[in-house]
Parts: sequence; C-alpha cells; structure tokens
Amino acid sequence: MSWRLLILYLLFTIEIRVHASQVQLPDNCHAGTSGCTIWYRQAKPRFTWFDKAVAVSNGSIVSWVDANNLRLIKGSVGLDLQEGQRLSTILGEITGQGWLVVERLSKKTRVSCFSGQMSLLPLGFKDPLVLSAGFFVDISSVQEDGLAFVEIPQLLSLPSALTFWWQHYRDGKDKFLVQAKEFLAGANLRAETAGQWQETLANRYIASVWEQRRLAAERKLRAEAEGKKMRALFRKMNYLDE
Amino acid sequence: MKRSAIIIFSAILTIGNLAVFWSVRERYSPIDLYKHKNHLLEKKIAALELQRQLDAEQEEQFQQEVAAALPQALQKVTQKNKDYALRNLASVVMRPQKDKLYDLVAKSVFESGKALFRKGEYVQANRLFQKVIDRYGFSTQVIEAHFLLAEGLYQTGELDRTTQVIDQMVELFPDSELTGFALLRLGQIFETRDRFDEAVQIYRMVSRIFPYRSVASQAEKNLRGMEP
Repeated sequence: MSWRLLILYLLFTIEIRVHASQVQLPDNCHAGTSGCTIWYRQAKPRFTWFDKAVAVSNGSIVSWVDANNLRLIKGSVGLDLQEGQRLSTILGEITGQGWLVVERLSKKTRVSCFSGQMSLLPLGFKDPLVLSAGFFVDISSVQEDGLAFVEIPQLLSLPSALTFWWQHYRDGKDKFLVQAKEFLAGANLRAETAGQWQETLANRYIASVWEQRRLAAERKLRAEAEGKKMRALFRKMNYLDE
Repeated sequence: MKRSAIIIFSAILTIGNLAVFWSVRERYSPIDLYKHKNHLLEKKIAALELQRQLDAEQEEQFQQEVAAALPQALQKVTQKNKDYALRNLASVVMRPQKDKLYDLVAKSVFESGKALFRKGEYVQANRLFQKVIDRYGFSTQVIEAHFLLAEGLYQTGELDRTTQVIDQMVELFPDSELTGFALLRLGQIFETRDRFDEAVQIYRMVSRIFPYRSVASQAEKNLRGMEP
C-alpha cells in the first residue's frame, strides 16, 4: 500500500515538472498552432515543426503567427529551414533553405547560417539580403533612415561555430557529423570571400574618409565666407569703423 | 517461541499501523492540497510573466515600426502647425533627427534676432540672442549670439552688461575672431569712460594676440585714433 502511494506521489511530482517546463498562451496550446506562444523552461528543449526537430534554448519564447511562420520573441532557435517556412523576429523576416540559428540578443538579432542560403528582409528594407553558409549577421534597431541597421556579414569562427551549432542540433550525432564535414570543406573558400569583402570595405572606408575631408574643407570655406559677411555687415552699420 | 511470536506480532502491528497511516494521511493532511494550490499559482504567475513579455515585445515592435515609417511621413511634413504632433513624435523617436531640430530651432531664433538687430530694434534682438545663449548653448550660432548681444547692449547703453558679455566671450571662445572684435568694443567702452590707458592696453593686446589681420588692423586703427 505504502509503495503504491509512494509511486503515485512520484508520478504526481513528475507530472508537475512536465507541466511547469512549458508555459503556453493560450493555455494548453500546441507547437505549430496558429496564435500559440510557448515559453520553454527546461534543459535542451525541442519541438517539431514541419516534421523536423527545432532546437530552442532554455528560456526561449516562440510564437506561431501562422502554421508556416514562426516568430522568435526571446532566446534562440536553431532549425533546418525549408521552403515555405518563415522565421521572423521584431527586426525582420528570414526565409530560405538550410541550417540556421537565430538569437535574440539584448540589443540586436544575430542570424548565423550553417548550410544553404538565407534570404533576410530586415525591417524597412524593400529588397531582401542574402546570407550564405558560414556567415553571421547582426541586425539592430531601426535608424533615422527608417531601416533596421544591418552590419556587414562576418565569418563564423570555426571551433566555436561548430560547438554552437551542435548545441542547437537535435537530429542526432551521425547527421551532424555529415553536415559538419560539409561545413568544414567550404571553410577555405569562405575565408577567401570574407577577405575580399574586407578589402573592398577598407577601400570604401578610405574613399569615404577622403570625401569627409573634402566636405569638411567646403564647410570651413563656407563658414569663413559667413564670417566675412558678418564683418561687412558691422562695418556697413558703422559700429567699428568710427 | 513465545518471544519470537510477540516480535512478529509487533512487527505486523507496526506495519499495519503504518499502512493505515499512509492510507488516511492524504485524506486528513492539507499538505497535498497546498502543494496543488501552489502549483496552480506558480502556473498562473508564469502565464502572467509570459503575457508581460509578450506585451513588452509588442510595444518594442510598435516602436520599431513607427521608426521605420517615420522618415517617409516626415518627407511630407511642412512647417505648418498642424504637423507639430508628427514632428514632436519624430523628436522623441529619432535622436539624430532631434539634434537636427535643435539646430534648426536655434538657427531660427538667432536669425530672428539678427533681423531685429538690423532694424535697430536692439532690446528685442538682445532678448533673442540671450535665448540662444541660454537654451541652445551647444548650437553653432552661440558665438555670434554672444557678439551681437554685446553689440546690442552697447547700442542700448548698457555698458556694464556689455563688458560682462565680452568677458564671457574671452572666457569661452578665446580664439574666435569675433572675440577680438568684441574686445575692440570693450576698448571703446573704456575710451567713453575716460579710461584711456586701459583702452590702449586692450588695443595693443588685440593687435598682438589675435592672428586675424582684420582684427589687428582695426586695433591699430583705433590706437592711431587715440594719438594726440
């Protein structure tokens, strides 16, 4: 009798823990249901979306705008995005095919692409931006030009990138090893591409500095002309040439 | 034999008692009820916390969407009063735009003062120059505002205040050409007060220190004018 009670007690406790590991709005809604928001509060949480495992970090909040549109509100989400699926955050939307991790950091959203190619449409943009495998990009708040601030895509640094990817991988070790090998195979080419980007950027920066200097010189000339006008005004009004 | 029977009987009795205790414990103990209530409350708190985070997200999303839509809306804005609400919103949402507005307002006040100064309405002009200095101290017009205020005060005969403003200019903008001109005006004030030695000292100092030819030549001209 006591054993039975003990087992019942344990089952009751386990049931409480399972319930408390997720909080849903509306109550008891399910992953993938339109309008459902889930707050994951357990170690290594996951759910299934389009028959594929999606990894979220502990404490993440995700919401389904509709069955095809997943919105990340807090934390991070890692998934193998398929055609027709859309991942959105406060600062824009992501479509495409391939493995990606999206993180909501304190002041920006970071999108890391591990395989395939992603199409990003940051807030205010009319045309999408392309993010290739092996790169990550940070998107921050909308600036005075009405566009979300998108930083230059950067290369995912290798040892830490793989660890990070593995932390968000829920499809098993074997599949991961195959994808990680593909990822490593393209690393040299990506580094070369990133180097070329940096060179172009450096050249652009140098050009912009020269342009800034030219504009500053123009401003100075204008200010001097204003000063001359000012002096002429006072001489005309006979304040100093008395 | 008898002793062992007593021990077995006692053990069975103890186990029986324990079994009865466990079976009735749930019925009479409020612990499980409290646990259940506690669990429900925790669940409610978690749901409220999730709702709070969703509300915060919605608010942030609204801010971002307004910020994204605002530049287009601002392009349509004219300087009419009815657009004040939109411009006010812009000043809150977009800091760089707010800075531009700050400069715009400072320039507008300064230009109004300058126009009055040209008409000879020095009292009103001085009020506006003082406003530029007090409220828009970081604007680009602040040096000229000081200079014109000093001139305006001189014109209205407020020589002590003129001296104070020129002192401020020397303190705040020692390298400015306009400070040189203001010092020349200070020299003239000393002249009007028959403090000729001090006036000469100032003209000499200005011609020596200020690297601007216009200021230096004016100082030398004033010096020559004082020669008997």
